[in-house]
Amino acid sequence: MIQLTSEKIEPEKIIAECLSSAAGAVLLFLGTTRQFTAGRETSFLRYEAYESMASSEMTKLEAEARRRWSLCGCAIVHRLGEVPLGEASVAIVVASPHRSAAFAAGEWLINTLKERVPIWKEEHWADGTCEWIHPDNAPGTVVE
Amino acid sequence: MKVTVKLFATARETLGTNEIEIAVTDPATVGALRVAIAERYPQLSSLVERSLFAIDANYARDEDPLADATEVACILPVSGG
Repeated sequence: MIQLTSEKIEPEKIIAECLSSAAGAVLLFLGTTRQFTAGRETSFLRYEAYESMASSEMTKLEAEARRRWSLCGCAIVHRLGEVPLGEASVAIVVASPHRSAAFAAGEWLINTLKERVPIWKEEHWADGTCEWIHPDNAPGTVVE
Repeated sequence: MKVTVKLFATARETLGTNEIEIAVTDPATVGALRVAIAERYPQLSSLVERSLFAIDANYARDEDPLADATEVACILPVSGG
């Protein structure tokens, strides 16, 4: 299940999409808006996406995770627009028969999403300034 | 050839538009487009040098041709999550 949404993320609904009697482990990851980064205060975040490509890249991530691990459920949801402090910008749910696959797939999915999916974060600082975040590390390499 | 390029985040705000039309010399490849944007918009050159480009919503390589592209996008370093 892949979704881009401007609404508040509701983890219980995403978990419900992934539950089944095949699962012995269900893992939820939420990425949330942090108030302080290196001592600097954030007031909120805003996210923008190249929506058609973000959806297709997230779909590829789900397919790749399902190939690499034995999963019986997988959902990736990213919020766009304004995300207030403490609320989730991204939710990943992974269900598998055994927990090791769920932990591994969940970590791989969030790490790879942050490298590959064309979504950008704008920090709105508490001092009234704002800036788009474009990390210095090399962007995602081209994937076959 | 002329190529229309979709812009996002800093590139969109700096140039004040969602897309630009830019002339690329033959052979028109992603790499030639990168050079053309950096030359025409020096204020974006350092970001564009470390950006990827997408052709029809798939990541492309610098040697990939633009001739058959329907939609080209400049993918600045991403920061989702």
